[in-house]
Amino acid sequence: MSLKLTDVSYTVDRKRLLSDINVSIQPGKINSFIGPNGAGKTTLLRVASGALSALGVTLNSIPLTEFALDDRARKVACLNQSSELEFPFKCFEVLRLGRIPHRTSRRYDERIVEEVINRLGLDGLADRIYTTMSGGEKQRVQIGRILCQVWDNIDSAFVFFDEPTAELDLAHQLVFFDVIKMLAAKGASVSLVLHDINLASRFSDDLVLLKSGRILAMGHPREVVTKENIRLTFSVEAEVQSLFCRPTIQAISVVAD
Amino acid sequence: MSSNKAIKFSLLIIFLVAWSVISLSVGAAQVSIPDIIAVLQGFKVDSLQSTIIIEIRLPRILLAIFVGAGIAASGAAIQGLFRNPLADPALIGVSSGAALFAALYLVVSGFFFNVLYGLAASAFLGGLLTTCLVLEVGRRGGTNSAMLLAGVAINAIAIACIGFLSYISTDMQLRSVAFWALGSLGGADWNKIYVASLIPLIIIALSLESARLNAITLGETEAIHLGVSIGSFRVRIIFLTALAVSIGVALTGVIAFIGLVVPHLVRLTMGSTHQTVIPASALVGGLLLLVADTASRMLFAPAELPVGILTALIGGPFFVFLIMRSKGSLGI
Repeated sequence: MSLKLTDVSYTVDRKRLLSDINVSIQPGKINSFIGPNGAGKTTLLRVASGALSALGVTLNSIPLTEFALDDRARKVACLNQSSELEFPFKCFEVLRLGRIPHRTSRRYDERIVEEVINRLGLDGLADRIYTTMSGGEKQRVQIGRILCQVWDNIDSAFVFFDEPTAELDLAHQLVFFDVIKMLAAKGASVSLVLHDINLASRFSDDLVLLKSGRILAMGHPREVVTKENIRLTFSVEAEVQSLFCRPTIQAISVVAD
Repeated sequence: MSSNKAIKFSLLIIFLVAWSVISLSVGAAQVSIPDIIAVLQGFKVDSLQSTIIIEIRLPRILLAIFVGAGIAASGAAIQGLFRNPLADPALIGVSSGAALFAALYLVVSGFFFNVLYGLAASAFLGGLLTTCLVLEVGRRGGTNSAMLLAGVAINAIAIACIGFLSYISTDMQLRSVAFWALGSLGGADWNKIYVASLIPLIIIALSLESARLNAITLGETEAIHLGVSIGSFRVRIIFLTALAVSIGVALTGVIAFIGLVVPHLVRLTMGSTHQTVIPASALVGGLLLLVADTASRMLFAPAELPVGILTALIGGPFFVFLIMRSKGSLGI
């Protein structure tokens, strides 16, 4: 059980966004894609989750493109950076959207929604109208929607989040990482795009460092988050220390090219 | 379904039946309710009252309900598909496209033996073509606003073409063309009801798409991640709505604002999931058009106001009110 990208490249309008990507996304692990703006993190996430079709992406050795969409949706869930929802749904209705691919009974779906609401502490929001919520509240509901999509098959799920914590306050960031650690512990594979290198370093099992659509470094945070790598990819001089046995960086200055 | 929603649905059906009875009763010739019941039970077969009820008012009431329901349910589906609460079959040019082709049929041809179906088919073709055109222009423009603006432009082009057709047409043709631009239920007869009875089937087909309509309100990528095959789904929705709207236009002309305003009313009062919005919009749309048509028969009786004028006069200000009240929550 794994999702593999083998020699994947992705080109749009003759502009190459990804080149020679080889990544294996394993169950029970949290992977984070990090890198500067325009490095191809989101493109990589979209290619890996199947939103963009590319050659060389396989799920359990079967090309991702060969799965029927609803079959794939029962295994792979993905939350994009921004949500376009502009209709006044109630929050619990948005959560229930995650159950669409499963065609399970309404009562069953309602129980899952209830469990996710409790797990994410969304109790106070459940009956609120989505369009009237703040950015952070919306994001928590969308995270909940993704959880609803995989809640009853966590052990075989591949879950992708693009910048999930950008709009969350400190407490809700911790709740989020707590939840994805639980997902990984139950056997799910979790992949994140993160801007915050320290969060990525602290909570990920593996990091993929991207620059200009290529993988520059990959592996345990200790191997990836080094002074050298940070300078090479971000053009930033940084101090690297260890905190919770993980590297933590403090950016010092921009390096002139 | 929660009991609250069930009550609202029951109320809507009760209103619809009650207003149908009122509408059977009132008009240039008043018919009492006992007489209506007698006629519907098959008594008084040859009386004038029987002719008025069976041949004139009943088909007209059914036509109002079917067409109103079809336009409103289509509006709800189109708004969901375009993820834009402002989309509406009339606003994005589908209705005027259908009206243009209906006018074209009236002025250019008009010699086929089965005028009713020829006109309906022509209007359907016009509706379908405009929908595809608006969708394609919007896609190239990249945003929903581009799609709406494309609709505005195509609307203007269609109206100009209808104007040109009116200019070159004979006086008789001109009256028919004017009828299509205004919308009226005046010519209702049982032949039209046979065509219109397709509309309930279309509404059922649209409600079967509810879960996918819910999914696509999140965005296209999100809908794909929820297992929706966007391409075929989009084609189905466009085909069904173009069919419903075009049948409506072919039988009654352009009836404005029902498709835009009704889904909003429903979302405000009954929630946004399409499992509710599609059937509730159909009921409210049918009820509203029936009420508007009854009013249009009564206001200047025995003369009739084209009902499209009335729906636009009521719907326009209501829409302005909606925009002012939304404070950004319409998402535009």
